[in-house]
Amino acid sequence: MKSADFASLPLAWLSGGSQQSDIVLSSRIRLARNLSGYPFPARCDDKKREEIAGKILERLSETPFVSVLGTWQMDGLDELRRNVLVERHLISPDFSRQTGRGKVVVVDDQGIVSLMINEEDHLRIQVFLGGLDLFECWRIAGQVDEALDVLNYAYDEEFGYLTACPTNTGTALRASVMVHIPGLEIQRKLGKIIRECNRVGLTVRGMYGEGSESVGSLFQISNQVTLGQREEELIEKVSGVITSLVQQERAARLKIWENDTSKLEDKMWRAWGIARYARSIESREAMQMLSWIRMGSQMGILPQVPPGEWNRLILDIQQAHLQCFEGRRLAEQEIDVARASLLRKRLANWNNE
Amino acid sequence: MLCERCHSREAQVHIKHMQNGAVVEFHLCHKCAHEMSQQGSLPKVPVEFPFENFLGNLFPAKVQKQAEPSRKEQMFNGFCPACGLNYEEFARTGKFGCPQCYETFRDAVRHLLRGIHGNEIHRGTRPHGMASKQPEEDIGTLKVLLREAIEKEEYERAAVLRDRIRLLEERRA
Repeated sequence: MKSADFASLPLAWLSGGSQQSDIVLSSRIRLARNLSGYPFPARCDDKKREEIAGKILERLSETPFVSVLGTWQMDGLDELRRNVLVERHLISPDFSRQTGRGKVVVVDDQGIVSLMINEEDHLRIQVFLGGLDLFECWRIAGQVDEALDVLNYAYDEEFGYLTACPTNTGTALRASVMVHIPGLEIQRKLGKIIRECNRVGLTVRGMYGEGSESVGSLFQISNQVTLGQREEELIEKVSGVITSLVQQERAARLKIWENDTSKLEDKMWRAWGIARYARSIESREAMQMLSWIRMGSQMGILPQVPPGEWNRLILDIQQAHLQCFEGRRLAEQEIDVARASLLRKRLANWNNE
Repeated sequence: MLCERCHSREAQVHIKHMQNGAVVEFHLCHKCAHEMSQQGSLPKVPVEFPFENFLGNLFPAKVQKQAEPSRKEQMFNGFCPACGLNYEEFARTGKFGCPQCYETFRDAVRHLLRGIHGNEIHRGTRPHGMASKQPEEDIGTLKVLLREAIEKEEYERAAVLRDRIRLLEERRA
């Protein structure tokens, strides 16, 4: 597959969702599973990992409701393609750096289900949808899980699903939601939100998960604990917190607008100006400008950029994406120029200044 | 901020210390900090984030060194028979070698999981293939665990086990 096609692999969540999708970009359920009778991937040799991957892929091919678009061996992908998969959240940053045979990524043709085989665990099932839709993600993930569980999962009556890392043991379920909360950030309420989330067992991270800093007021909120509660309880908790966060964000925006309309509008129009006319722009600044644009567009202050287009933009301006579109590796300065050029072109479509 | 020694990597170690009566500041990357502390030009600093200091606290030292190792640990001399992982390595890395490790280090794992999740009894879904298994056996095992827990005066755990048994009994009925 050409690198440009890699950078446009389908992702259902990009076109938005039905619930709270003004604030919630995407919902994701991730399940970790292991096959009993094999060591975890870190202690497997190439041959064992290939055997495991073979079993999973064979079973998957017999599963009617997952229509596979692509199956790639990680060691057959160049760095650029691996990085694009990371930027599209289809694989973890960790997986993109791993070497060895039998490490496989599978992507379905709807852009909803993806699998990582032999990352930290033998199997990671991931389901992504737009808006706040964790229960539907869980239903789909459960179907895939059920179809594959003839593979004889490592399971213990006391501890539940057994995983390489004890932080995933039990349900081995991670429910995470990506939110855009610039209003709360302006009101400096993030510290409080992070503390509140931690208090109820949720983690707050940046857009690219573990260790990543937040850019463009985008945050990922997920459950920390995986053991001792039923899957539905874990999901309910994340959903509940997000629902209340969405209301707080809407209220925050209104308040900011009421307090100083002209200052807010000025900030938004300046962001529009920079994104529309800059000749070179760094990733961080671009994300910040896009954050203002999304908020301004939703509040009816800036030209209307459809949510789907905005979601695509935040991925398309990432550096591996830009290089894939150009079809070659770019120097850092060239990347900033390419990013500015992409933003100018794409935003021109929504210009009704 | 870039490392002041190599000027190429991001500075992630920030040290302030007294040297001959004056405060000296260093802003270094992990690699340079490590090298400098090896050379002795820096006080010893924990440059690698040590797992032990974090999750490691949750590993029961008692199980590692207890006078009476549990039956299983005695049997395998602290090694997982399936993958060869030993308890010390497990405690250091915090990662299991294979699913069998959970069985090998069951007592320690219980303690660890309770530390991480505040709980060690799974209440979620079970693999499909296992649903047909006689729930009686599970209840039997759990009742043994429950008795053990009460004997060890681990009442919180006992309560969880009791709930689990109830749940299974309801499911069966």
